[in-house]
Amino acid sequence: MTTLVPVTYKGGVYRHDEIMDLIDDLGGYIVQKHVMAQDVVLQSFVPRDDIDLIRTVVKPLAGDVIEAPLVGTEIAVVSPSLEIHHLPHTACDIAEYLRRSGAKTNMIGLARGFGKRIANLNDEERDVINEHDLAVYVLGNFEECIEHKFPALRRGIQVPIVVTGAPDRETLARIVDPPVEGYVGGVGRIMHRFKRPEELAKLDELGTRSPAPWTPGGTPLHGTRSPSSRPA
Amino acid sequence: MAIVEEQIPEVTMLTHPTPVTAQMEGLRVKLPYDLYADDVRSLDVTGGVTVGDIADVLPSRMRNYILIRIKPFSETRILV
Repeated sequence: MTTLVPVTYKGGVYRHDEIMDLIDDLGGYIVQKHVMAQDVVLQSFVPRDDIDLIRTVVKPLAGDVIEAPLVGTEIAVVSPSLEIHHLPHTACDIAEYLRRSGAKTNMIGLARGFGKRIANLNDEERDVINEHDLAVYVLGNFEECIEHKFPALRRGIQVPIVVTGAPDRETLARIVDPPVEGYVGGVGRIMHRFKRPEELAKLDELGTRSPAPWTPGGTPLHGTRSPSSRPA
Repeated sequence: MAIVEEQIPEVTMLTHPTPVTAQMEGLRVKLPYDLYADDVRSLDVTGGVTVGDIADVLPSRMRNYILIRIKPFSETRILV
């Protein structure tokens, strides 16, 4: 039986229709096509055995085929607010990195996510988050704060949740009750864009912790893209 | 997704980055629900089976979009 794997094709507009025809002819599917000025991004499922063939065909077109385990998912990146107090750098970097692995991400800054004691989630926010396939909560540095605040921020959420915060993974798993689907520790209030290797490793870890629907257990993102495609 | 894009030409005129967004359980179509929900429901998938037969077409809480949730086979008993 042919196994379809999720991949992203990045290349130019020139002759991209041939790539689309090739994927169709091989028995694959194109899930989403983005045309941005001169660039084309195709998110698709292709037979595992034919990836090398596609790579060979796109080489003269300077295209790139990257494994993207999250193709076809829509993910909510939830931050207590989008103000500088909750440092949107982290949320933006996480949203952008998940997009690289094929997901469509929406950032949701809560209207009343401030304050350990008074944080809340309104019905519109709850319903919008529930329309996604997964919610990634971007929380802060303090264990005490996450412990008190998170139950309010997750009330009524029925989709799988991944929690990020500065405490390590074991601590997050201990203080979050009932348990959620994933924890990524060591991502707290970072006052700059992610650029150091250990920070990028955390983003890779997040990509693998997000439940990848099409590949059980998720595909590690390490080594699937060239270093030059990482943010400078 | 292809059916929506082919049969509702307004989708191609939208300026959203992803006018039709794929999800695991369905699609989000970025057209006003009040004006286009019935059009989406009556789209022909194949052999007289419409989108309304195999999926729930719901109003999204995100702006005024349309949310399509595919019903399971056990509920519809339709195999396309």
